[in-house]
Amino acid sequence: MWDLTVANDHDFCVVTVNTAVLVHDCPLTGGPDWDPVKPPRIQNPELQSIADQLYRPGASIGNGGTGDAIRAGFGHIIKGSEWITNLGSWIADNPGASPSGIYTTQSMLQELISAMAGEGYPGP
Amino acid sequence: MIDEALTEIVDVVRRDGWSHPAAAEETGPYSVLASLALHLVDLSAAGPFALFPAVFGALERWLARGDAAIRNVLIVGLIEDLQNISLNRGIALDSWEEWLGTRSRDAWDVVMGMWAGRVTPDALKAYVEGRPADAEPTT
Repeated sequence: MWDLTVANDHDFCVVTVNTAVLVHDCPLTGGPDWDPVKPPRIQNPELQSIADQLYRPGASIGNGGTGDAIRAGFGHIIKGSEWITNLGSWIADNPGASPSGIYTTQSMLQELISAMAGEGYPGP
Repeated sequence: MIDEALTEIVDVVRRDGWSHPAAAEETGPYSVLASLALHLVDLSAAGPFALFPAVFGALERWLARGDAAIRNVLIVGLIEDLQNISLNRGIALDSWEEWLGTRSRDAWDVVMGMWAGRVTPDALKAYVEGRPADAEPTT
């Protein structure tokens, strides 16, 4: 169970197997690379490789993301939980990444966490 | 048993000089196979293809003898990742067909059907568990 409701506070920690990640639950609007209903467009090649694995173009399930496969009940729970760890580790291991890269990674991470929590897309 | 399957599939590629990130192994089997899928897609563009028969042969064997957990990591993990990465990089999915055995091709088509809305969650679960779609789930 992933309970991400933090009263009166937008900043909280998600602790994965190897990494603790600070999450800011601001609405996902206005970011340079992120639209929660479309696969992300990303400049960083390493992040693009991650998105290439997590998102399926042309899918009829949501935006083709692993999060939508989880929401639809397709048994991607363990895969999703591993990617939560991987994305958290990427943020922790790349403190010098561009704000855009960090933002996009946090958005993919939040999208998976909200799917695991049985919620819709994060944001407004 | 998952470790045994992963070892057989990954060792084929490891003997060819590839190694997945250590962090992937610490994270879990889906991460290891995601790294493998990336490598196979890279190879698919220009080769060499020498290790493909062994990799897909191991996939075929473990789809046949693996339990539901192994089949899930192979189907929802390796096969889905191969498809997703290929689609994102403009690689035709039918270019993989020559490497797929009978069971791998079935699993490939099930994943395609899932994302196209033709395969329901229950049907996917039944397929992964190796039972008829209208049979009672094991859990």
